[in-house]
Amino acid sequence: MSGAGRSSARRREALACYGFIMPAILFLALMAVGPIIASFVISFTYWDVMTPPQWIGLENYREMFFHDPLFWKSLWNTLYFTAFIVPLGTIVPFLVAMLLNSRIRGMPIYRTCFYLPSIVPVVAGSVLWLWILNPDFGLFNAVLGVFGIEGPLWMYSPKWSKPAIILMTLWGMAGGPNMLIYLAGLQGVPRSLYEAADMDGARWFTRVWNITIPMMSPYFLFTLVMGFIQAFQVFTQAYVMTTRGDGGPIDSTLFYVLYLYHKAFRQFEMGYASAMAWVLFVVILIITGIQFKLLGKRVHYG
Amino acid sequence: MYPFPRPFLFSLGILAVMAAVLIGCSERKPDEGITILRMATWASDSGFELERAIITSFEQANPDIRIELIYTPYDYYTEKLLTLSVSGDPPDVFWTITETLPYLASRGVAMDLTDKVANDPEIDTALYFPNALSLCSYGDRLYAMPRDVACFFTVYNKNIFDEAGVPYPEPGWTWDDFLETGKRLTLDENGDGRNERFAMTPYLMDVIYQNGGQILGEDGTVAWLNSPETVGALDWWSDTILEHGICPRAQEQQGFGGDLFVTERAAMTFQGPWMIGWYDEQCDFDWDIVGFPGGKAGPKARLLGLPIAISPKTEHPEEAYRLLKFLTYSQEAQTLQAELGIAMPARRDIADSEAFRGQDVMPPGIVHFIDAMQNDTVVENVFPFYSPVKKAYQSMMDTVNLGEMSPQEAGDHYQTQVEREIAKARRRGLL
Amino acid sequence: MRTKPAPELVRDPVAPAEIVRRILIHLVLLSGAVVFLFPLIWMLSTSLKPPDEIFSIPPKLIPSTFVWENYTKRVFEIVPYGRHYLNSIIIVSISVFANVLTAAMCAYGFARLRAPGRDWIFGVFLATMMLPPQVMMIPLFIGFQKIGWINTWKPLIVPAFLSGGAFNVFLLRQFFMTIPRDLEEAGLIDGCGRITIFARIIVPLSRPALVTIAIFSFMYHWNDFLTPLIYLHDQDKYTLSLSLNLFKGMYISRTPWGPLMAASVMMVAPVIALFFAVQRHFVEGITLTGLKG
Repeated sequence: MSGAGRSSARRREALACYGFIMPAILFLALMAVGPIIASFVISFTYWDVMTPPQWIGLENYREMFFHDPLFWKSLWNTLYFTAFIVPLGTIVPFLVAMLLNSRIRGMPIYRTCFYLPSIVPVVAGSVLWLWILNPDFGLFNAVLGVFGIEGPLWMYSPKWSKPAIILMTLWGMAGGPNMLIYLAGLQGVPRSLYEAADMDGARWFTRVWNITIPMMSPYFLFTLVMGFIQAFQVFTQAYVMTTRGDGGPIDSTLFYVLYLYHKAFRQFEMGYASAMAWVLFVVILIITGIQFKLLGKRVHYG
Repeated sequence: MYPFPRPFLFSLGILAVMAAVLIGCSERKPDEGITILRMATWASDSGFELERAIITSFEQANPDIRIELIYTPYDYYTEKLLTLSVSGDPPDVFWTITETLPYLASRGVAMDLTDKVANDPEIDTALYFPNALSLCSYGDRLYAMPRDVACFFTVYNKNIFDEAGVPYPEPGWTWDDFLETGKRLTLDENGDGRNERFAMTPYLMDVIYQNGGQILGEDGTVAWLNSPETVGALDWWSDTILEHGICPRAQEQQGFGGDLFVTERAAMTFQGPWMIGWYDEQCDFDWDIVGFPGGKAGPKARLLGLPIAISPKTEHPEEAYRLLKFLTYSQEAQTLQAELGIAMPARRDIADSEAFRGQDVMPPGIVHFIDAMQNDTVVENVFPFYSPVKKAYQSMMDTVNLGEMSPQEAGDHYQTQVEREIAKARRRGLL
Repeated sequence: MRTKPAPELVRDPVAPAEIVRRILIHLVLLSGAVVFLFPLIWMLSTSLKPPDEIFSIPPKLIPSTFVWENYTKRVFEIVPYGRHYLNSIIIVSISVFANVLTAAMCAYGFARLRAPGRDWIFGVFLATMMLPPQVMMIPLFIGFQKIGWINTWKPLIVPAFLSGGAFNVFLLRQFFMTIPRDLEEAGLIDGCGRITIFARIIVPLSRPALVTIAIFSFMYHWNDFLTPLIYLHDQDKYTLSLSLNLFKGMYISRTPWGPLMAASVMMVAPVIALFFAVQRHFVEGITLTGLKG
């Protein structure tokens, strides 16, 4: 084949390639890069969409950091949620995966039982748990009552509303995608490693600690990184489980994205909401960077 | 071997075509000579049917107009209305929540009706209840017309009063009378420190008006959250809950289930006329109505109502105005809505007639309610930036109700928050 | 490459300690399964209860009479649930189809075709996985507003034709890379175009991965709440997730819990049915497309 022929074949292949990946290129331009730049610009304006935007420089950021108690409250609520749901959402699915990795009869049925809650749509899960946690006639407090415990007010108490949402979220997570990922990972741990350990008479716990967990570290890194990103975006539970979706009682479930939603689509402060989105973006970037830095070295790539 | 069975692909294809057809059909194609008006409401269920009945009578009188009702739940009403307006496809006529009217007006979502109404020889605004038009105005311009008006009042369970040997509340009763009555009605039968019966269901609304307060001053530049009137009112209110226990705290409602008044676990409740039909259906006991107990400013009640507005973007302003006038002013619609038990008409001549107060469900005390509507209503001072202000006020009430802060502390705390909102509104040109 | 699990070992005679261990595991798993499933069972039970039993204290698990009306009538009276159901089916079918088709196209391009800047584009594309969607939400809303798409299904459906995001493409690309190149080259020599190769060779060989993507995509669109919440405003256009939220009344004690739970059951049912139908492919798809690849 001549040189010219080869290069024209190459050009044809390149054209075909761009053709095939066109949706991804459009996605990048229209749904990612473009909007990010736009949102950065909008964050310096006061804009309610109905009247023309006003350029107000850094005022949204100043307002957010120095004058808006609800911004800090929503950040605190989100950190509270994250601080519980990320570790719990890592450990509990891992324990479930370990259990489901045993070789015993009926395992497919067990796996299905644990997996089902995670495919329940969050809206359906939220109304269900709103009902189960109802202090007047809910199931949960009735069960606690059997043991002589007076259950809390859950979604009606600023102290218990976040735990209620954590509980509900954990129910959906314990057997969910994280568990599947761990299960896939556990099945990939070579048995020869365990057999070597067995000969040493290593106890179960030492075996898990020294073999399973290091072998699973890339999976943990992945679920932790994704877990943080998702935890910061908690929205639907709080929107559905509170009156008018306002994040009550006393703003105790006003999570970051819920507040952002209020600002954007209730008060129509697009500039302020964009500034909030950018802060969220930066926070997530920093946390993800820290995780890679701290954990990346310890991850054992098999 | 395809990844999906062919029938599956086939059905997907069919659905795609269906969707295309549906999307295509959703473009409205009106018949010749008929104007279609879209009206947004939050009336649902049975309420929707009743609204439909009024609309039908309008359509019969105006065969050239057809009305499409758009329903949005009350909780999400304003955000959906604003988004529809932003999208360039607003409803021609729409109900409004009074607290949001100034915002809608300032953003150009509601049409200025001042001149139109003033120049309309058929309309005599003196026929409305006092203050009803202020509810529809911002600044000195009129942006809506009132269809219903109402205020809260006291509903009491006569059986419990008789049983406790307490005289019924009478018009002109005061906060002191309320407290005295309340203490005698509260009951802890088994002495476990938890009341089995309360004097009152949880309430928080109108006390600040009865004490001469408001959330914001008249021109919106001053916040009154820590004013002596507001704090005094909250002090009194929180004492009835936290000290005297005549009204349950948030924690104490647990295990009760259902409406406390209907299940006779509370002897009184503050409610509005829209509950009368439901109480008539649900209550197995005798009950009646009396006005609010009076504070130092008298038995003041916040005027509530249903203003209806027109979009400035409507393509049919004349037809929209005809509908608006029919709903809010015409003898026919106002009488019909009274008779259907939907709400109290904004026209006092009709509210004070047999059509409204003569209905079977009405207790004799309904006259006290009409009295209060004539003499004791207050209009909340509302501004375009009111939504975060009202939210701060709610949080303040919740904080006090849960005993987390004293009224003075809560007042001071939320005062600064609201003052910042005022300053911000100034910078943004909302004030 | 990951090491394959060792083949099942020859069974030893079971020691008593092993039997105790197995019984213990069964007990733990069984109680766990009950705890996890109970809320769903409770949902089903509430959906069939007459109104007065819904609030009974102590709660009853099995209704005294089964109120099928909640399913056959009440649900449809309270909100236009049938309409919402149909809306969801239409929107989700198109979106899933669009996602799978375009994600597979992109994955094929990234996995097999060379072009300048391809890997760079892929890297940036992958990085978008870490972007919180809220950052894009507002400009997208304003953009859709400018072209008059608010209160239509277009903002829900049209973006689905842009591959549905990096995660789908990544999983598929991993899978496509395991398909031997010889097959394609044979096709090329036979004079087939790239599209023919893609449609006749790659797609048929990737069934498990495509099914996995389809399920992820189905669950995403079926469950999505925020997007319809922002864009749909006429009740006639609502999807199921918005529909459920409509049931919540202004007063919690007046929320029609029975019909609401019936509506929830009907929303959950297709997801569970789908899960059972494709369970085998699903697990296969995940394990084959593991992280390290």
